[in-house]
Amino acid sequence: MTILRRDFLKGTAAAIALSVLAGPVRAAQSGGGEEKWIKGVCRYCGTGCGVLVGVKGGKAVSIKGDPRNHNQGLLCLKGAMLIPVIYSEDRILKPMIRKGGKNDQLTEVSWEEALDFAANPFKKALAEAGPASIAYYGSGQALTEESYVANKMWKAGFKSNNVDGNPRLCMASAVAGYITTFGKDEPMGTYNDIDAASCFFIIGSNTSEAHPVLFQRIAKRKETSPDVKIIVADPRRTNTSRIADVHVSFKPGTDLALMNGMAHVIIREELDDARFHGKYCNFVKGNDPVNFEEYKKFLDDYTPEKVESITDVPAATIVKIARMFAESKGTVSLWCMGINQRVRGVWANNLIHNLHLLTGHICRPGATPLSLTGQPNACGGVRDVGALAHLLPNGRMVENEAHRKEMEALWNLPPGTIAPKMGRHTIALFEGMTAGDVKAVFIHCTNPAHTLPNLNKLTKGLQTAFVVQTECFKTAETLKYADVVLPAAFWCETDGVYGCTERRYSLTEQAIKPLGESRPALEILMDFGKRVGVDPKLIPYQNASDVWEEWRLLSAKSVYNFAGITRARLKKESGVKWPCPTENHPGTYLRYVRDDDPMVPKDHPNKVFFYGKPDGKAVIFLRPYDPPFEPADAEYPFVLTTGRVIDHWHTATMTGTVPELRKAYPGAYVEINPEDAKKLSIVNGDPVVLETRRDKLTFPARITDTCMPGLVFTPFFDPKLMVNKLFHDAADPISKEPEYKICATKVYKVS
Amino acid sequence: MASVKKTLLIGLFFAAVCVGGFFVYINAAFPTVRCEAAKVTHLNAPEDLSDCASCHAKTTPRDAQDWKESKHGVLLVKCFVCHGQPDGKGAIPFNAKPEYKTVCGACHEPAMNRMAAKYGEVGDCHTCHPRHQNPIHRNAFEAKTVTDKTSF
Amino acid sequence: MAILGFLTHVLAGQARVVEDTLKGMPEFTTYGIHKDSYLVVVAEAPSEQLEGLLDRVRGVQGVLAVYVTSLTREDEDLEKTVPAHTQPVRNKTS
Repeated sequence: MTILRRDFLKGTAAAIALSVLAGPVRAAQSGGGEEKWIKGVCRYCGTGCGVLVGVKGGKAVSIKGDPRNHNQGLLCLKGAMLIPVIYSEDRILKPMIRKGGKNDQLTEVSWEEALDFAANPFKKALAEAGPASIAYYGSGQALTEESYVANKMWKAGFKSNNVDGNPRLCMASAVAGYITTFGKDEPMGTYNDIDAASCFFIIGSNTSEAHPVLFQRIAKRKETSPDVKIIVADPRRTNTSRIADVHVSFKPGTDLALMNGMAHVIIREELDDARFHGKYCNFVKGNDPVNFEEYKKFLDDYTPEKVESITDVPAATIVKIARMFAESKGTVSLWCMGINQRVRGVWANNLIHNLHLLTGHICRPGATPLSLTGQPNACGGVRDVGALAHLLPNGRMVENEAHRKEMEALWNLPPGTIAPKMGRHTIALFEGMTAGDVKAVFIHCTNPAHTLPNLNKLTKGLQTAFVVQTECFKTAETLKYADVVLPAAFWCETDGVYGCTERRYSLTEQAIKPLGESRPALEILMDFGKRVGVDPKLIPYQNASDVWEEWRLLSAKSVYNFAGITRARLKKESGVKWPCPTENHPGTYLRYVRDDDPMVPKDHPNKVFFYGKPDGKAVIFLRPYDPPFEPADAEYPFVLTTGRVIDHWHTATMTGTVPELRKAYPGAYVEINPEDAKKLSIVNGDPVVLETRRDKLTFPARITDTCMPGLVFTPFFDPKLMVNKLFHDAADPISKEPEYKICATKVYKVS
Repeated sequence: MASVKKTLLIGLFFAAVCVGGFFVYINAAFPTVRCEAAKVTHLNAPEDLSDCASCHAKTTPRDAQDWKESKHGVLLVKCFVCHGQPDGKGAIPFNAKPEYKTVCGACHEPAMNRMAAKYGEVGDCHTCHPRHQNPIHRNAFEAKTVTDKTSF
Repeated sequence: MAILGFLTHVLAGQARVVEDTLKGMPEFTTYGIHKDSYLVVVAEAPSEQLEGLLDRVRGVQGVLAVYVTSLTREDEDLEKTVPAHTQPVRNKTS
């Protein structure tokens, strides 16, 4: 039987096409045939949805929501499309170094060579210039075990407090807000409160795009109980407002006045809970205690009429939302970067807490101020672990001698090991790098060359200091400055814990082997540390479970106690909420409440005990309105703000690898209100220049009534149009968090 | 007799020319717009066209509006999450009718299991949950602030 | 002569119609319908006609998309017959 070559080739072509029908065409999101489902947490936002990764033949082939975690099986579009990110061509799979300095190319080398090349400059800097000359810049996306080990290596091993991370840029104000008001960080309520609330006050948050699954939960609450009221306060009318009963557009930066105005109305109409705030609150102005009468007098400056003149919100609306907030059976407030990323971010946080403390909408089901965390592990990995320049684990402070002594005892360190002064917070760190005081920096799991404020100024530091970076994706802007690039294993290629917004710790188990030559970041950190010279006895861990064991036992010596959340329990359950002191404790719903919170003694005389404060009382602060650092003026007449879109996570190194998400938003644009566009003769699609005192960039215009007149918005994900170049780096004096939300800009069409 | 036939034939021919000319004119004057949907396959769609919804608002306005007002629309479960990308180069293989167990199940498996336990295997979702629209049991989250003003 | 294997993604219910249309074109051999949505097709044509060939497939009523799965050549001199812009490009290493 003879077969013509031509026919053979045709048959082969047909066979290949047939095989594609069954095989790889479906591999990206195949259904069916999964051999096992591995439990984990979504890689993206601080909602912390549980996921199940379907594995077949050693490859991750599909993903679905974990029905037993708080999201009950639901996912948003980013989480639903995580699988293709793992296998993207953009993955960095081999270590790389720049042998000849910053102007050289990155060349692939072995791990041995890369790690030695990385460690030597740190050794040298330590020997010649001391611990203040090296730094670690970490991330709210790193696993808890990684952040814990890095923090310990630096503060206890190298004796350097230069440990900071990108939560400084997003959650620091919320942290300081909780600590100044309540004495301890982290929310007192949970997502369960959403299911019981009668009123939602959403301010400075585009929940529908930044925390989509929580938005679903809020919408569902309203759907099942139509009396539920939703107030959305935001200078932009985003998709979040589609379910709002009232949308309040206030002049950017005036929300402090708005909230004081609400407090004024609440007290004037006697809707405050005098019994609650009389029993559980102190009033403080600056550092001085005052009383309720003085607080009332302070609020005389915030009558609805006066607030209207500051905020452009009609007085009647202020009265309306104040009544809605106070009269409801239970009010939940949610906020995110609109409140935190401000020069008065801490004050803005305090003012939200004030409203809840005044009305007693706190520490009971359906009533709580719930700060939305942006990143998946800013809470568990950075805030609780204390991986910031001024913190030590479990809420301790570097500059508190008693706290340092406690940590030295817990970590078996000679007294005096931990340096007494706080290290460099993020902006100070990059300024120190520019000045040459910080000579070497280890950057883990974040992309500062894209996300720092005032980029042109602060990236100078990356050009002078020696930069070691762990990174998974080739598109990260920071790679342009890295001297050493170490490929970390990505997400479910290793195991570790994430702690999300609601104090819930959930475990991502390893689903597949690390791709290429990538290694778990925990191993990289320890290997690197040992080569620099850290005492191996400080980091005697074989794997992440060992780290977790030490960390959970350590937490028992604090009120952030989660000793009952063992690795075994994390494997069995889909997340547990701390405080959780013992293995049979179910986890805590209402914190600070007797009989709910195990940290409150069972025989405590009061129902609510803010044990973070010496006298058990929370603080209502008298915070005046203070305008933003750079409001609009005659020369720069528009306010520029920035934020996220649902399809892209931060700098789009991950979401940009998914074609559907990339196509949904291929690039940045500027949102302009139709009234403003008409005055400037701009139509949809026109190239528009945004010029600030720092730099200027050209964006395509998108005419929409999302922004109020006088405000323009551009998303920050696009590496070709990094809007952070336009922003200043003014920061909150308490939290050191920069004001990414407001700067002044010119807007004009390219001629 | 012959002249009537002749007149009829000339009339018919004239009518045919007019009608034919009319169609030729329409085709020439509106080359792609007349039935915008019919001739545009997804591979012709402009490279920079961002999301599916903006084009489908014109080509399949009913479905696009249904989606926008439905729960999936409010929650921004965009077209490609279920349907993939039509040029075949996306992460999700393109499908006009998504497969229920895997696609709907990726988020709704607990509810599907509950339904199956109560009512038995139904086999498909969209008999009761019409594609893109509100479910039969309740109204979707009603858009509360349908106005183009930005302040209250 | 290029031999191109590809899948045609068709609108539901249109598979038979599309198959018949393709059968009517001499360059195509169809190998079956999968799940009423995909056709397995092999095309045979001189290389310079390849682009036009796929456009014709896409122009058929009911065709949503064409996914090329394999391509081989037989009996022809590529450099002489195929324009430069369709020739393989070396991968960049940056």
